[in-house]
Amino acid sequence: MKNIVNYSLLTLTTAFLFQGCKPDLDVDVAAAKGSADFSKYVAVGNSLTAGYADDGLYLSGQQASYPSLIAAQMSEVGGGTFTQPLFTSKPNGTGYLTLTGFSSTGLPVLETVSTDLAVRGVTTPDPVLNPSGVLLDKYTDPINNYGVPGIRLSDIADANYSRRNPLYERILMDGEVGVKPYLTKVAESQPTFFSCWLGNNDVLQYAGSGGLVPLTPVPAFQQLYGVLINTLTQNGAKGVVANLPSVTSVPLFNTVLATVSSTAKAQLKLALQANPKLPNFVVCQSGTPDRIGQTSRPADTLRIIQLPIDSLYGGGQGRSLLTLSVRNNPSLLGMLGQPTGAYWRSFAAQNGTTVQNIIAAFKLDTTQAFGFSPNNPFPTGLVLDGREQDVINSYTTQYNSIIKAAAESKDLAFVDANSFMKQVNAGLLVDGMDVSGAFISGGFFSLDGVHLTPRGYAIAANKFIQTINAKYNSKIPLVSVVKYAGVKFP
Amino acid sequence: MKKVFMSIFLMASSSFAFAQGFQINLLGTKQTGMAHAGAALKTDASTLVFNPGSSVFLEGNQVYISGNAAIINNSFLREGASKTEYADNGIAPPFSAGVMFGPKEGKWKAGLAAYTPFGGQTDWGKSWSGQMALTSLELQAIYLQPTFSYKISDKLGIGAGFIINFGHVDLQRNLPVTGSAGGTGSAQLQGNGMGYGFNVGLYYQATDAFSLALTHRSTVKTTVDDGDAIFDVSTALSTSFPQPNTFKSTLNLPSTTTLGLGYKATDKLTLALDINYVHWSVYDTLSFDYKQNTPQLQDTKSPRNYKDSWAFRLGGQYGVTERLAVRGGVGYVLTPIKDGYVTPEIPDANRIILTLGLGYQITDKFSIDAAFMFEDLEKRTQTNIETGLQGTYKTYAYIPSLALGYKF
Repeated sequence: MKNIVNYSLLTLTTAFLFQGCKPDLDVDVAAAKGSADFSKYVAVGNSLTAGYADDGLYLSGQQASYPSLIAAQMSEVGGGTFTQPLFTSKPNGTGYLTLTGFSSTGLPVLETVSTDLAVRGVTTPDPVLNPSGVLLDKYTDPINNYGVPGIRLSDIADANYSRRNPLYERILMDGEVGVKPYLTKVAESQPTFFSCWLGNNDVLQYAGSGGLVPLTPVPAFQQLYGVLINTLTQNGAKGVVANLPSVTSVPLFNTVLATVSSTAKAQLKLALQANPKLPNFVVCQSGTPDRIGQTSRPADTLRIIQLPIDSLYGGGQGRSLLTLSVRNNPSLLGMLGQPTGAYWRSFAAQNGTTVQNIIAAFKLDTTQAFGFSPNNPFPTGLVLDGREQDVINSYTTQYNSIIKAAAESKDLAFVDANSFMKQVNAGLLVDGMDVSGAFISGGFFSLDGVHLTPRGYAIAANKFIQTINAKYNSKIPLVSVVKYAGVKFP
Repeated sequence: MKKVFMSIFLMASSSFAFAQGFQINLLGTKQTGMAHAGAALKTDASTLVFNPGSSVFLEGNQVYISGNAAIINNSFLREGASKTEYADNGIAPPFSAGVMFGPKEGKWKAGLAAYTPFGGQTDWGKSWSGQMALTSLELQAIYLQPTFSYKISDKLGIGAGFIINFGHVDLQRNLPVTGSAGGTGSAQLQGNGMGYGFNVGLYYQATDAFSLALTHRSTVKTTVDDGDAIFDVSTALSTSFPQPNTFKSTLNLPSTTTLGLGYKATDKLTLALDINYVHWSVYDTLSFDYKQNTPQLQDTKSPRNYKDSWAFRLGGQYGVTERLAVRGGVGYVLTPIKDGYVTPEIPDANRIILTLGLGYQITDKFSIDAAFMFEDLEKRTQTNIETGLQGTYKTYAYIPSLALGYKF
C-alpha cells in the first residue's frame, strides 16, 4: 500500500514538472526593421487617420486609430513612443453616434452622445467643418498623429484653415491659429518614418454636399501632393502612402442613403397619388462642379433636371443618391409635393440672407409643389445624381494616379486602399470572423457609414503593416484583429 | 428588412469543429509503456479492450484499473505575430478499467470494461487570437463494454463485446458581435449523447514464440439529441439568437482495426508490434441542427473531410527479476486531417511517440504498473478553410500513467 502511495506521488510530481515544457514558437523581431527607421513615426491624414468613428472624434476611437495600432506593433522593431492628441479629460470629445436598438421594421435607431463634450468655447461657425461653431479642448504638446478630421489636401497650405476647423485649431498654440498652415505644422515633426493618407475629403465633401463643395482641381491636387511628399521625405524619411477608396461604395451612400431614398420614393409616390398631375421629381442642378459655391449662385447657372422617381438609388436602374443631409432632415421629405418655401427659408437663414433674395436669385415660386415643379425644385445639395457620381469616379481615378506616381517617384510603400476596400465590401474572413462592408453588421464600418470601427482600423493597420514589411523588408508583427470591437450592440 | 442591417454573423464561421485526432490511446498502462502496442500479448484484464480474443487465455479472475494524467501543451503562433500563445488545458484524466471472470482453465471468460477511447480537453482562454474559432472544448466518450471471450482451441481465441458510449461535449467560442460595454458575444454548445457499437478480436498462438491478433472496434455513431445551445449576445440581438435553444448533432467515432504481432524473443524479453488502421473518413461532415432557426442562426454543415489513417507501434517488455519488468516503446501516428482543416480544438499533426514503463508484482495477487508517454507532434502551419485562422501549431504531450491489478 505504501508503494502505491509513493508511486502516486511520483506520478503527480512528474506531471507538475512537465507542465512547464511548452513549445515556444516566438519569433525574435527586435532587429527586423529592415531598411526603414521607425524611431519617430508620424501619421499625416484626415479623419481616418485621427481615429474618427461614429460621426465623431472621441477617446476610444482615437485609441484604436490605425496609426496608433501600427505604432504599437512598430515598438517591437525599434519604434519609439507615439503620442496622439487624445481627449483624455472629456472622453466624449466632439460627441458621437450610438446604436440604441432597432425599430419595429428592423432599421437601426441611432442616438447622439452630446453630454460632457470637450468643448471649450465658441467661434464663428463654418457650414462644412464647424456648423455648431464650437472650440474644442486644446492639445498643444508634441504629437505623432496629425490626423485632422475634415481636412482636404487642398487645405494643407491654407494659413486660415485653423479658423474654420476646430479639430486643427486645437493642436495649435494660440499664436499659430490663423497663421500656421497644416503643411508647416507637419514639416516641424521631422519624422524618420511617416504614413500619409490624404485626399479622401477632396472627394467626400463634394459627394456629401450633393456637389456643392467643389472638388480640388486635378493640377492643384498634383502640385500640393508633390509638395507634401517632398516635405515629408526631405530628411530622408521612408514612409507609406495610401490612395483613395471610391466614396460611393461606402455604406453611407449605398445603405444609409439608399434607405432614405426608399423612404423618399414612398413619399413621392404618395404625393403623386394625391396629385396625379405632378411631374417627376425635380431637382435643381448645379452647373459645373468646380464653379458652384454654396452661398450665392447666379441664376443663369441654375439648371433644372427631372428625375424619374425610380431613378433614386436603391431600386430600379436609378443612380441618384440622396445625401446625408436628407437623413438629418426627415422633415424635408414631408414637404415634398407641398406648396412651401420652408426649405429655402432655412437655406437663407443658414447663409445669412433673406428668403426674398434667394427667391429672386433662383427664380423660385414657392406656391408650386416642392420637388415637383421646376420653379420649386428639390435642392441640388441633397442629391448626388448620376452625372455627379461620374465626376467623382473620374476625379478619384485621377487623384489616385497622382498618389501612385508620387509614391513611385520617392520609392515609398504604397497601399492600394481603393482595391482593398473593394475586397472588404465583398467580404473578408479574418481569424474566424466574417467582416464585410455591410452597414452595422459587417463590423468594418462604424455607425456613420464612412469611418471605421476599431476592428476596421485594426484590419486597415494590418494592410499598412503588410505593405510596409513588403517594401522595406521589415518584420513588424501584425495586429490581432479579434481583440478590437465592431459596432456596439445595446 | 432587418437582414439588411444584420447579416449572417454566423454563416461561414459558426460551426464548431470537434477536435480531430481526438482518439485517446491510453487504454492500459502496461501497453502504454510499450507505445500502446499489445493486441497480441496476454497482459491483464485490459485485453477486454485491446483484444477480447486473448482474454480467455489469462489466468483466473482479474480486475484492473488504469488512470492517466494527460498534459497536452498546445502552442500557436498567429500568422505575422511574434509572440507564442499557449493553451492552458489543465490535466485530462483518461482511464480504463475492467473485470473478467470465468471457470479456471475453462473455455470462456466474461468481463466488463469501461474506458475512454476518445476525448479532448482544450482551453485557449477567452482572449486569444483564435477566440472566434474556439475558446474551449471538452469532449468525453466513455465506453462501457460487456464482453465474452471464447477458446476455440488451445491456440485460437475469439471474443466480442457490445459497446455503449456515453458521450459529453462542451464547446465554447466567442462571436464577433460587440456588446455595449465593448465585450464580445459568446456561444456554447453542450450536451450528452449515446451511441452503440462492438469490439471483436481474434488471438492466435502461432508458435511458442509468435502470437497474432486481429481486432476491430467498430464505428460508434453518437447522437446528441437535445444539447443546450447557449448564446450570450446583446439584448438587441436576442431575437436573432433565441434562448433557450437546443441543438442536435451526430458524431461518428471512427472504427479501429488492429493487426498485432507478439514475439517472445527470450524468457525475459517480449516484443509487440501493433498496426492500427483508423477509419477516420466516417468523419466527413459536422452538422448542427438548431431547434430554433433565425436568419442569423442557420443550421450548419461543415466539411471535415478526414482521411483514414495509420498508426505504427513497437514496444517491448524485459523481466529484470521475477517481479519487476521494464518496458519501452516507440510509435508513429499519422494525422487524419488534411491541410486546411486543422482547427484549434486539438491541432493534430503526425506524431512521434516515445514511452517507458515499469511493472511490479507486489504480491501474488497485487500488481502495479507505471508508464510515461511523450508525444511530439510535428509543427504545422495552417490556414483553416472555414475560419480563416492562420498560424502555426506545435504540441507536446506528457502523460504519466498508473495502474493497479488484482487477481482473485
